[in-house]
Amino acid sequence: MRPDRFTPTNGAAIWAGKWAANILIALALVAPVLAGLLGAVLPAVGYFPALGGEALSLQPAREFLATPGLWRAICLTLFIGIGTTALALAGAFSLLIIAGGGIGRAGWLRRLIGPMIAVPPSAVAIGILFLLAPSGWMMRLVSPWLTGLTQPPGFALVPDQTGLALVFGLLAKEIPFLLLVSLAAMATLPARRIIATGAGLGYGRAASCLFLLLPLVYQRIRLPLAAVMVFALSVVDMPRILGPSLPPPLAVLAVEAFEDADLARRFPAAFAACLQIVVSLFALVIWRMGEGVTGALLQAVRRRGARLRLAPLITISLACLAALPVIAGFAGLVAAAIWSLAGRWFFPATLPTALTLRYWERAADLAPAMVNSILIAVISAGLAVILTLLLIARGGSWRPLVYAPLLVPQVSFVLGIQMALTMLWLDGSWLAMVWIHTLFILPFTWLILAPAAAGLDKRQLAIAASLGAGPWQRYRQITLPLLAPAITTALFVGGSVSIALYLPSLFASAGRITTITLEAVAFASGGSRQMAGVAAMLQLSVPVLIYALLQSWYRWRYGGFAGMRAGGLH
Amino acid sequence: MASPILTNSLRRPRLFWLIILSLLSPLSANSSDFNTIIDAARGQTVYFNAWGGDDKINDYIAWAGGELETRHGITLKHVKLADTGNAVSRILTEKAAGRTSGGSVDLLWVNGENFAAMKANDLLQDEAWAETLPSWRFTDAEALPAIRLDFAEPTEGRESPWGRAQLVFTHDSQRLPTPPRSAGALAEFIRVNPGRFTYPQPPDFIGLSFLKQILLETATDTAPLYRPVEQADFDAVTAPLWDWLTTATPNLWRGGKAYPFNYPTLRQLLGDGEVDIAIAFNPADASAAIARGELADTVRSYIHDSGTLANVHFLAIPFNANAPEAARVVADFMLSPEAQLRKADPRIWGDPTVLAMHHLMPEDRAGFEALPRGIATLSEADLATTLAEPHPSWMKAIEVEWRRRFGGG
Repeated sequence: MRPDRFTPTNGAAIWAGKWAANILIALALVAPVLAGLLGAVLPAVGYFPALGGEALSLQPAREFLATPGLWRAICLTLFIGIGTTALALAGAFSLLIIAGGGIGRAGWLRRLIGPMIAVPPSAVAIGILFLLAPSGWMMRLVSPWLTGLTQPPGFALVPDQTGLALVFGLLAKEIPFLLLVSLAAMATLPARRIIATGAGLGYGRAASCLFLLLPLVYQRIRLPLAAVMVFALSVVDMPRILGPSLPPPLAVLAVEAFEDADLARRFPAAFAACLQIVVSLFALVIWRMGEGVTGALLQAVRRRGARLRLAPLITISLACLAALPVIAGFAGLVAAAIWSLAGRWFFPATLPTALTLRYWERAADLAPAMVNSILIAVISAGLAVILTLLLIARGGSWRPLVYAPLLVPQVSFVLGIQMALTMLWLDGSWLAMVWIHTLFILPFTWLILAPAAAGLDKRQLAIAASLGAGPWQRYRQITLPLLAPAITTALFVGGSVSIALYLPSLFASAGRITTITLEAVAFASGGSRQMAGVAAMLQLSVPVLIYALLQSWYRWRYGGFAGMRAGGLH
Repeated sequence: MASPILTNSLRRPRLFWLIILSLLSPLSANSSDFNTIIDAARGQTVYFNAWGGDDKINDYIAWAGGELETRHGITLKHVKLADTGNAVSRILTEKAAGRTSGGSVDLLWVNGENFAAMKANDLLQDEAWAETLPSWRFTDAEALPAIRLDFAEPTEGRESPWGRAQLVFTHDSQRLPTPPRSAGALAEFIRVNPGRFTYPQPPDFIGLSFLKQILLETATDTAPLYRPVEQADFDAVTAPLWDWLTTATPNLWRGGKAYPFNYPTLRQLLGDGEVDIAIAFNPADASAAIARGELADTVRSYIHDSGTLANVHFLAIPFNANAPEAARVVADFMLSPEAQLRKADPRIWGDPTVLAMHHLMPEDRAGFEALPRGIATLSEADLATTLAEPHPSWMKAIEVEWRRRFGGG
């Protein structure tokens, strides 16, 4: 598991290094996560002296459990979380199969979907709403010449109360993410040989993938899959745009309680946040059981030697279906780009009837925020990668703490950390900003780097050791270069996560440091599609820039290595 | 003081006596106090936490920042918020962490429930500072009681009035030439035109304000609404509202099975032609949206014949502000006739003033009278009938009941 564990035989320097790493991990990870967890849990049991809550009580629980429609909201949340994850997995895998099992020809796919990861979720939701609404782009394309309508019709696909529109919107984000991590996992597997083996046994490509390759890929992407599920369970801005809202998912109920002007509502809000953690864990348990059942089924089919002659057909139709939300996501982005230039664009006009640069002229004022964002993203993504590599090398039981920022609802987690930062007089400092960003990036760098490190071929290290290379030299010359594709992916995803962070930035910056997302979200809260369009383009521009830079760096550094050419930026 | 003005005013005897009088009155003590505040404020930085979703407002605040820099050496930093509640949360966290000075917020744009919550939890400056500001003399709390009563909550001088708001309805005059001007007429409109009306989903502030408007119009006796809800028979007082909603809901946009999330989303639905009527809390909102190209230029605004909800928005200083002196100087400048006139100009922002015209110098008054109105903005006379905001406790009770009846699916 740990290819390059430091051993105490290497003297005082390594011993000191180990302690330095321990202290760094304790300060940077353990302390803030504990602060965040305490901030989430204590008010939920009635303890928050600043609001007069001095003693433990069940009142917050009672108050929140009385919310009308709560049980429906919880069922809905589970349906959205599990449904999105299952469909995203099926979609990503079927796209993977028709893209050639990830062999050779997948480069174009990677380049296409990479930037999609970095699109802010709310921008995807606004785009999809604009596409599918009765007054939306699709209807405008066929009106009035085909439909005869000059006023939008009364029926509606979005927003909807079943949660399907929300799942569709989430898939637009999550299928590309899963594709990206699957391709990364595939790069560590001898995919070509595995499929050739399948072919030798008389299986088609789709069947070989399904029986032999994908189970191996699946094992390597379980962590990202869990992240997809937790995100779908806890997302707040997308359901506000795409529905459902009567009742909304649990996370929206929690945030509404936190946003209530009546500060006494903070107590039930904190309870809601804890309930959200429980529901997320419950969904993960259900998923685990589903894994067992699916695995057994697959094995039974495999044992029977079924050739799955229908598999190619099913895969192609699934892939086409999976492409739909992704295409819709792209179309939504195109719409956002057009809106950012639109002076006037009323139903049923297919394109804007007047154009303006007025909103882009405003964007020039945002240059300082842009510089801050890039600096924070680069520094904290770098730190998160270093910290992750340390955690991987060091091992230890603290590692599950890495996931806390994903599992605990952001608003309650951030308040706990903010309390600690304020006590230390660190709020509003660059240190606080970079620190909190690193913390929120860490789950993503971990879920990309940990499986990649686990999958390394340990024989190469043994050879290096037999040639007399010490542990540090082995690490620097063998492990790090082999991890380079995963590291570039982690840097890109980490940078994208950092750029998009809103609440953590708002609190840690205390208004002293502004970022592009802080400006964009405030800018877009006025509700104009033009402003939302500019904001989305600006938020997108930084990750795309980082993507291009990392991509060319990787080419320059490793382009000459035949074995790594397939890697690229995963 | 520039001498030409002094000599000019000394030529007018009445004004001369006024100046002498004012020097002898307690006001002069205040203004000398205020001069020490101005001195202390020099060189301070004010972190002004205010909603940042409108570029006109952002530009106005930036202009004020420039003026304050040249006049008083104060740096004004606009911390742009998407939701005021987030700044309140930050201040609350600071209180919980024991930060009693050097707080991150110096000045906050606030009103209603947020103010009541901050006041109740001691998150505001202790002193009654607002009425000691030199510009306070341009206001008239008799004529506009809402500058001392924020949603029926006494301000006690702990926030300074900044601007006025009033619930207005907007409609596209081309599609809907004669809009319904009462709760009854609106109910009839909804019945005849199913799917063409909706309101932002509670707990959205404007959505709840709309419900309060309907309640004020349909209630048999509105007096209990101005006392805490605990002292009234909630079910009996609000029964007409629920009757109205039960009849209307099946004929709302999407059959009442979905609602826009906030008022900008509702305005968008009007722009897209999905509904015929939208709601806003700023009389100049529709004009501004037309100028931005979000609404057709045939959109106009109207209010109900019995008047609509009106309130005032304020500037407050948190208990632990880092630059409380400079924050007061900023609040005073924001209340000055010069700043208020500029703010009321629809080409700049279009936010109605809180000043009393009869307390202004003639030239300032003339400035206000000469202001153009936006194409879809009602005149002051058309906006004259207003309804006072009910006691804030009703807001919560109505929200809970709405959720129970319509929000649980």
